[in-house]
Amino acid sequence: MIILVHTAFHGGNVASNLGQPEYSYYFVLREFRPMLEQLGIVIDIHNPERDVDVIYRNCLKRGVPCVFLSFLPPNKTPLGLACPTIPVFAWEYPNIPDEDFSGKTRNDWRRVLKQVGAAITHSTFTVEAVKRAVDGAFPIIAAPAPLWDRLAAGNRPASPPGARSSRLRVDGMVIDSRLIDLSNYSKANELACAPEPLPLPRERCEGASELELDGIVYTSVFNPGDGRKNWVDMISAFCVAFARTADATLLLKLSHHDIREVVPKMLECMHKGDNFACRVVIVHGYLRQEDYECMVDATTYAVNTSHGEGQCLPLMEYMSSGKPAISPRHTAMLDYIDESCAFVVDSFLEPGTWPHDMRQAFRTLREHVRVDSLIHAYRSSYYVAKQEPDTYRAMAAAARESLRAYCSHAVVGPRLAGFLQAVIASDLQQAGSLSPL
Amino acid sequence: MRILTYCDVEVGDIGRRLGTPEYSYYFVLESFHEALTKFAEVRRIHSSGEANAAWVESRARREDCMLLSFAPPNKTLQGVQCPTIPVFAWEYPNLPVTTDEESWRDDPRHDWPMVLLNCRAAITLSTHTKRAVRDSLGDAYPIEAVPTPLWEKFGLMRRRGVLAPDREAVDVCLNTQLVDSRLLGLSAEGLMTDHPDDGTPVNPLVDAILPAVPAAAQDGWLAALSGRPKNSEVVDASSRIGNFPVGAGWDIPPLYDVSTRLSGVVYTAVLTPSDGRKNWEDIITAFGWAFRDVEDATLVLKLGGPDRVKHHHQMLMLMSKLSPMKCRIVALHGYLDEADYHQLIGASTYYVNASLCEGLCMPLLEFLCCGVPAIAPDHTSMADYISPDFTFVVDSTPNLPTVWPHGDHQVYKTSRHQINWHSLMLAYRQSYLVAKSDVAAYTTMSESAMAAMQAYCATDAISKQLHQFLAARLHDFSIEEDRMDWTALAS
Repeated sequence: MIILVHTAFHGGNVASNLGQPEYSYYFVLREFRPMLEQLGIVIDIHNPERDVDVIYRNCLKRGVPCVFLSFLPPNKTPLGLACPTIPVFAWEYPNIPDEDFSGKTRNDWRRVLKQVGAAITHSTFTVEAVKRAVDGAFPIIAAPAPLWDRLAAGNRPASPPGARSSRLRVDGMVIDSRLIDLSNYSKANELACAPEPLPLPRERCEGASELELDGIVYTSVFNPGDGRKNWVDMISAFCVAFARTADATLLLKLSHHDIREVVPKMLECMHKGDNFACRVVIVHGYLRQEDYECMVDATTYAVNTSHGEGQCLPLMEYMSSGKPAISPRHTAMLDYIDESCAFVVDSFLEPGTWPHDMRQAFRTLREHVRVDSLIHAYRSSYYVAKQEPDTYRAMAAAARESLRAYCSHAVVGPRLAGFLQAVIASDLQQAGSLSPL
Repeated sequence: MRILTYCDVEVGDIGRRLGTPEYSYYFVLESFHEALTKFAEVRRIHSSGEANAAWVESRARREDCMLLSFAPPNKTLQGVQCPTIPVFAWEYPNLPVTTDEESWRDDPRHDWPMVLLNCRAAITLSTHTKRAVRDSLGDAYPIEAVPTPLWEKFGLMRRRGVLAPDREAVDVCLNTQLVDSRLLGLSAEGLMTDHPDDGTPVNPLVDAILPAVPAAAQDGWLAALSGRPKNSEVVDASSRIGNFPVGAGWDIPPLYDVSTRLSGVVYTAVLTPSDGRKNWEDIITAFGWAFRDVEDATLVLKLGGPDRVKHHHQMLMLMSKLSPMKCRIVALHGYLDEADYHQLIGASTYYVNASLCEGLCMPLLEFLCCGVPAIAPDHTSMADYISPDFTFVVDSTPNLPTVWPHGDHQVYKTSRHQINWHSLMLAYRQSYLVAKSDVAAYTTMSESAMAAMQAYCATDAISKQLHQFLAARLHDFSIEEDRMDWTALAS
């Protein structure tokens, strides 16, 4: 099988485009690549309109099955190709875009999906959303990024949480609440400085530095410019939950190429927290492989407070590594989060918008965590980490197992292979019924 | 017994101070007046000088005298010689102290526990606040939670009875500045001011042949109503004739007598948008979402407070984001006189509250006193009187960190509630179905509301409660005075 793959960014330009709407597709494709390479020959396409059908027709002549996986949302899927085209996309809302807003036909995903005839997404939630909108028999599967194997492989026995401290090297910026003066980040100062953002703290570390982590560590990895991540509740609730707990640390690993505007806002949020004893650390920069693994090792819990997820690669990574989660149980998390491997945070629905809809019209719903439940989850998890090592160990094992069932090669591979074969078979059937080229 | 009453707001100020925090205290004072006159001579004073003069008079007559200060503790009148008891509402679980805010450090009245201790007693309008005070000052502190006596005020309204909930429409005529969503040409497309690119490619040849997909089946929440007989009654609730509503752009229409027909199920909310606690955004979005496909659902928002034009723009934006919607939203800006306010109550099927916290919520109580069932949460002060017997209760969760409303707004010092938007949206739909298809259930709710309000806020019982409490306080105060006199004599 020839598998043509395409996404918006490639290794050369992704670093400067972190935070663009399709940035995460690059990482998804990267996770899929080893598995796809087991199913066939993978060819990267940079110009689909020019290259896909040339290869497809060659394959057809030689009787070699060929399929094109476009790692982009449906409105950006290359259309009008002869080669069977399958959009591989993430979506975190119960309604898919079904309106030709901005006067563009392809913003109605139903029509694009009906045209391409098949799709791949990453969660049962999204499969159901698509089937509701297009038709109940529409060929779509949930194939999460198969990252479990690479993480569960490093199955180091976990030491009790908070037992020792870790040091990791960071090349970038580190802001540590224990070292900075938060009093500068008041709302009044923010308003006085507007529209310019407040400057970054003088006491931050820049360049190469060492970060020491100890106690009970709550880690979250996200793009702070992405409003769906809801870091406001994540941080506020942490400062309230651990106002008097010195050995609780919230570690925020930020992925975005420009954080100068958003980090002062995060600091203002922390300023509101009013003299908390706990620690909040913001890291933005590059970690070498061994330091990244050290960060995962040092983590007690992975945290998510999002309005919705298409799959959530960081949460999947940490849980595959045996870290229980603090997370709501909605959207993609319905497939892998439950009470056995996570402190589940309650949430409720509120009006939502499609992220790429410039009107930001209310066309769907999104989830919002109940802050009270999040505070409770923080505190319960801290208690378990400190006082109930057996419970913690069981949750760690459950996290690993849950993610195995969700995104291991053994589970995703056959599902994906079967789907691709069915798409190819159906395409050959159609091609066979047409006159030869 | 002589009771002096004080409130920071004058009747002449009402128009100007509509929607300010002190404004509600004026109406609370008015409501308590009759209950107080049943056992005391009541006199409104406007300054400490007046209070002290009255105090001297009372002393000469050997008559008990105290001052009831209808204001938050930090606005207690200073320099008053007679015993002063604050009468206040408070919607937070804890009390402010001076060290909470930079700007408070020079005014000791911001230390509410200290003020209340000095006053030696207090009256509050809810059990929620009584708990907050006792958490701070201990269970022995003399504080009484007293409902605001509103029951008798609406006797005439009750005798008129509530309108049939499944009526086709009610005609009203109100002297107001009315904004009508149906006359605004709303569109979600209107929200874009530039034309930034969403990145979706366009190729007319390819796009033209994309297959059409039929719209998915709508969720069938309205199915219960199909095939029901219609009540085509149109009620005229107005006593005069006015002109039709006009359209509005960036400005609000002028003030005049507006005649309009409110069709179907009418939801009313009375609030000040700039008071974030009122959470009017949820009231609007949940309504628009619930009734996107329903023509005969109407939301009437009676809006007060400053910044009218800004609120109008905020409303335009919210309604545009919800568009297209078949339901109708009507905003009434400014002051409604008593007759028009009663007309509005009479025309309403339900009252809506989605507040994050409440010290009182007088409009909610007033509508309930008239037999209008509610959609409301049951937290903070509303826990004292909201019941599922006459309310579609909106789910909420406590402990959402927040700032003091009257401080510097820099640091979280207290908490309020998170409203479950989806629960509010479902309450709209459930209440609509009840109004349209179960008149008997609606009538039961209406009657339950009135029975509950009579038990909760009828003047006689409240008067007795106040009399007992204040008499006991006077007794305590006189014992202390005697003790002080003895001590003075002894030294």
